[in-house]
Amino acid sequence: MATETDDDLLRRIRSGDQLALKTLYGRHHVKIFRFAMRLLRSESSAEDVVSEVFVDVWRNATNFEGRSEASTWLLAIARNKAFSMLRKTKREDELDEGAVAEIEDDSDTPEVTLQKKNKGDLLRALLAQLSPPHREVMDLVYYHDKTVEEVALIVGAPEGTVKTRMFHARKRLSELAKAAGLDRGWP
Amino acid sequence: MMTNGMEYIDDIEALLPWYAAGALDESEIAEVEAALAVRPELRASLALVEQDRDETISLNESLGAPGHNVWERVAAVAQAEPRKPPLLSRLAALIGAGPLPQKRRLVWAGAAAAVVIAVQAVAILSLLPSPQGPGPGYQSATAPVAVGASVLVAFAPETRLDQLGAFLRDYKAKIVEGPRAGGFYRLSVGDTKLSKDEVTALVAALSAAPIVKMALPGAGN
Repeated sequence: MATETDDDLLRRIRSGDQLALKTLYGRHHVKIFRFAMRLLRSESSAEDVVSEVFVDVWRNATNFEGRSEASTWLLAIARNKAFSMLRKTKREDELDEGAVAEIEDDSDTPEVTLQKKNKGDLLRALLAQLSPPHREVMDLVYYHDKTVEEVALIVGAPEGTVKTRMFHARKRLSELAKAAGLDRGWP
Repeated sequence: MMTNGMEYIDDIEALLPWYAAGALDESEIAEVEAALAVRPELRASLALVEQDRDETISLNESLGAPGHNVWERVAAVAQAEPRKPPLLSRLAALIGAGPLPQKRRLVWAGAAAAVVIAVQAVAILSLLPSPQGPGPGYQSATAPVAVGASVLVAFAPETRLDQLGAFLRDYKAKIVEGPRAGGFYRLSVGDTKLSKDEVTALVAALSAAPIVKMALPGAGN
């Protein structure tokens, strides 16, 4: 029997089929969790995002128009919820979205990461330090295999902005690496 | 070149992450590979991109998975808030038909290319079962015994015959009598009798079909 597509499952969910919801959850919950974890750095908050995403799917499956892959739609919902949580965490009254977007994690400084065992460890530590917009664009492309168009849909930005943001994320990663003693020779 | 304020970003350089992720279309891949063949600095850049990709994947893979209680939370909401299937789906289940068409799928797709055939009595009657057996032919409609739900339907005058055929197939409906005064035809829908409420719901669904001008419950339900 051919495996049902995500679109098929969403059609069944629209008809009230809880088993289809469970199957869709089984397919996507881990990646949604990891996407949220990278943005929020909190297991319990990332779990909240996962549950809220699939509750939204249950309640609003009719909103999925099939113009993109279901995984793109799910990631877009997860992103909205994660950024909303980020804003709350950073005290919404003091920080606007732009400010939240630019915050990098300084919990592990380049000097500390220099002490990591090898280049791979160092790069992973530096990837974790990037600002949320830089982290998410790298994750969406490298881990979630999203095209320029799909990333643009998820983050709600023009495609040109997505390419520029990715370029700057790479550039920032190289700067952080250089500060940690690893000159990558680029850009 | 892409511009970002005063900064110039090489178009191919900008595409390298998507090239490394296998997320480009064929023409973009060809473009990137042609540039890689003649620009050694791009090849060096690609090596860094591939390193970033591998470490990003490795970092994500290390993040584990949500606990089982997360699904239980979702399931609890789904249990507490059962979704009502859309009316058309419920009716489809009721009359044993497959998924019914979405309204927009029926709405005039390809109309420009199609020959518009007004629904006239002769055309509709050609869809009636012949008392003499299968085969086309004109016969007066003499109300054969209907086994499904009985409804009266008047079709929109601009309805095409192919739309009518699709409508009858989708609803597992047969025209059993007509035309009557007001252009109504009696249809038998499905192959089982329905309750009064179910007939009301069916009539509401039929009324929403783009080719239906008006639908009413028929006699004998």
